[in-house]
Amino acid sequence: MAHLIGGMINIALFTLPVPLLAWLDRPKAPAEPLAGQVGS
Amino acid sequence: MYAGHFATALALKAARPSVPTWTVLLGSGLLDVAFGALVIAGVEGGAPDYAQSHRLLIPWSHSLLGAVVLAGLYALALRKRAPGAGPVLFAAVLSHWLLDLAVHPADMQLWPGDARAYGFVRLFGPVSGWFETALVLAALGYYAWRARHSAAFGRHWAGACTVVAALWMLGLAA
Repeated sequence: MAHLIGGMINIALFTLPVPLLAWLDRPKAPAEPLAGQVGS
Repeated sequence: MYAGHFATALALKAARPSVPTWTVLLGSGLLDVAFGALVIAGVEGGAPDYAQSHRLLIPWSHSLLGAVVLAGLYALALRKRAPGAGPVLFAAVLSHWLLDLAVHPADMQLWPGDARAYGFVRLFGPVSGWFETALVLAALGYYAWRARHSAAFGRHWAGACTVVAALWMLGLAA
């Protein structure tokens, strides 16, 4: 049982932060045009 | 080593922004994911003298040959989801082995069954503890510097750095 829990903890430690870090690292939003500005 | 692998992944992402972030993050920790699976399977685990030596039995997940094979398979498996990212993903997986070498006791073989094992934590002594700290600072510094000047990634680069720093502190406390 101990090795089962230990293995699962190890997998969790190296997989659970991945979605959060990938979300934080996503591309920056393009700058929105200012009011009255004509987009090209 | 824990947070150092994530910091290295972010630095690799900063160097090659076209590579999907999750692929390089997962790749940098793949050897320990494999280790976890092999521990569950009863194939790998602590050495009989683990309490004294902290050595692990990791001939498959953390041998150099095992790392190269896993890196190749990982790059191959993601060739369609991340076209052109193969060399970066290969490097991300292999970086894990190279970085672990500095902080492990002598339990990392070149190939499964190799009579010799490597790991320089005793050679470096107290410096070994500072190695991950210096690595995290340098890698996050590079990532932050690149992210500030790129629109392709790092929308919340400070948040990403904070998360990795928190993981680094978690590693220190463990």
